[in-house]
Amino acid sequence: MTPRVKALLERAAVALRSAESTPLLEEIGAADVGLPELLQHLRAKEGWQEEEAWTTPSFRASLFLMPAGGTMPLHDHPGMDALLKVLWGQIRIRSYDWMEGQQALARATSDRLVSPADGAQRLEPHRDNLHRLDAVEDSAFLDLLAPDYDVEAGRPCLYYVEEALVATEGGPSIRLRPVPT
Amino acid sequence: MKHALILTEARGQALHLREDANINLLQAAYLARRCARKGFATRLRLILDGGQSPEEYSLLCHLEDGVINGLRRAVIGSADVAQARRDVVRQVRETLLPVALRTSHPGVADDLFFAPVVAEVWDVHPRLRDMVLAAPHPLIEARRMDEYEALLCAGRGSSYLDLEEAVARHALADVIDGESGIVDVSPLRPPRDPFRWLEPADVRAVVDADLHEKESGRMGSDFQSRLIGLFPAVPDGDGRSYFNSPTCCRLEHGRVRILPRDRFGILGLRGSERLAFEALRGLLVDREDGHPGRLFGVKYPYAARILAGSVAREAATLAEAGPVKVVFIEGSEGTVNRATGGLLDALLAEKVTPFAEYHRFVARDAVRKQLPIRPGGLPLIQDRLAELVPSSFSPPIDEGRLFAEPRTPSAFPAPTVAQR
Repeated sequence: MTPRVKALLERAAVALRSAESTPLLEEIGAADVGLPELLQHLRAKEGWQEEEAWTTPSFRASLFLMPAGGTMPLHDHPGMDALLKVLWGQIRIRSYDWMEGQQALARATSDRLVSPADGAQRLEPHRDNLHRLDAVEDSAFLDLLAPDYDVEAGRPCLYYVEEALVATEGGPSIRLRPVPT
Repeated sequence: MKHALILTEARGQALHLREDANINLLQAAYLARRCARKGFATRLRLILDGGQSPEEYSLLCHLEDGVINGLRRAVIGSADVAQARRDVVRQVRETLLPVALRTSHPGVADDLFFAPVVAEVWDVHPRLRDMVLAAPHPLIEARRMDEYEALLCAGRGSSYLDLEEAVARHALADVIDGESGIVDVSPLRPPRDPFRWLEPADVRAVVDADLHEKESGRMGSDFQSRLIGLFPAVPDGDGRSYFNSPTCCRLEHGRVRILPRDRFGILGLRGSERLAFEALRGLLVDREDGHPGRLFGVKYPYAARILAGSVAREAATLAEAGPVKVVFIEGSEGTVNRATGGLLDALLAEKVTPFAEYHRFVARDAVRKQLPIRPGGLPLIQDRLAELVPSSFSPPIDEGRLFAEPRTPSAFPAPTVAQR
């Protein structure tokens, strides 16, 4: 990873933690992180493959590679801010939020196809905090988490399955059940 | 003889009042007393883990976001980050902790939060009464202040975990009272000598098996399965190895990544370290052989596996003499960490049920919300809190089921060697 990319990531992470808008990831392109060569060595036949790019005590930046048809199951980012920038391919991102005061109930917030022409997708502790990713074609995205997952600090990465549709005030919501990992 | 083996958290009793641990300990004491009166030979096991620092565990997690952001800006925005970090750590200790902490271990930095396994109680805060009694709260009984202060004073010169255990035992002695002779209370905690932390055979077995598994590449790709349950000292720029609030250690591309850990992101720490597995093993062997150098403590997920193994072995031994009920009490509704408490719960359910009944309780969220948020210790609130305990269990206690005659061991499938 080049010093320029590292500097951009570090500034973006500081901006994320300060809840400021951050267009910095738009300056990072596929060539900056070694794509598309990396995609030629895509080992994962399904799911995803993580190339951890840079980890510090306050943030983690990773490059995720997903083959066409690959899925990253619904998961959360408790108390975290994150930026997801698609660098290659096309990914369907379905986002959800926990419903306040309702145990295990979430509501869908968006469902979109994202490609390199789109801006970085942002999630916050209380906005679009859960998502599921499906690669429509061989894809790669840069993921910036600030702070990183930390199990003992109450920030484990949990995966969920959609258990049932539930009628709630303001429309239907979805009951989610955590899946042991 | 029928047995009850109750497991709960004993950290979080001495320095701060807003902890699930306060209510969980009293729940455990209440159940222990009820079990003893119902004719169970009752054992209470207290978990004193070496995980998070006293500063983070008890205090910072209850500050408002704005205050945390202010501390963060003070360090990250400073021209002299190291000095600003020292100032913030000192500020947290001097304004939020009822005791002054220090350490005599040469590998621990004063300007970072202390790991609980090496922190020592140096003195009692000179403004203790102001910190605790600044504003009235219905659960706090000011008349208990002398008793609390005396406990802290008695802890001078002892380790921080000793103080937590002493305060927990003090509260238990009050609650269990007449049953104290028949309730066997003992802690589950790391050895006091740092050279012995990894020495017990069950600890080394967990560490060795997991490192072997990770090195062989058989682990999953999700975040949790990459974690290595050790917290090692991290080297600083001057060649020293600092051992403080748990570091993070995990698998990364076939090697081990070690990072200083900063739960709230306020210390402006940077940098990390990568090791080959062989190098990590070499450091562990050095430690075992008594060479001075880098300290290694045990944390999630190893701690849960070691605890579950210990409880399962004890339950299995008891089951040879009669039926056993195992009860795990930890957390409150909505705040249970599905990874930490959840892992221990899952492991206990798996390892214990072949030869014992297993029950799990948390505290009702409504009770947790009544706790005050300020420095202090369980003795200050235990009388009023005890009144809430019988109705605090989630799920509610079904005495008919909980205290029913346990099934005899022969009613359970024989445990396998692996389970024993």
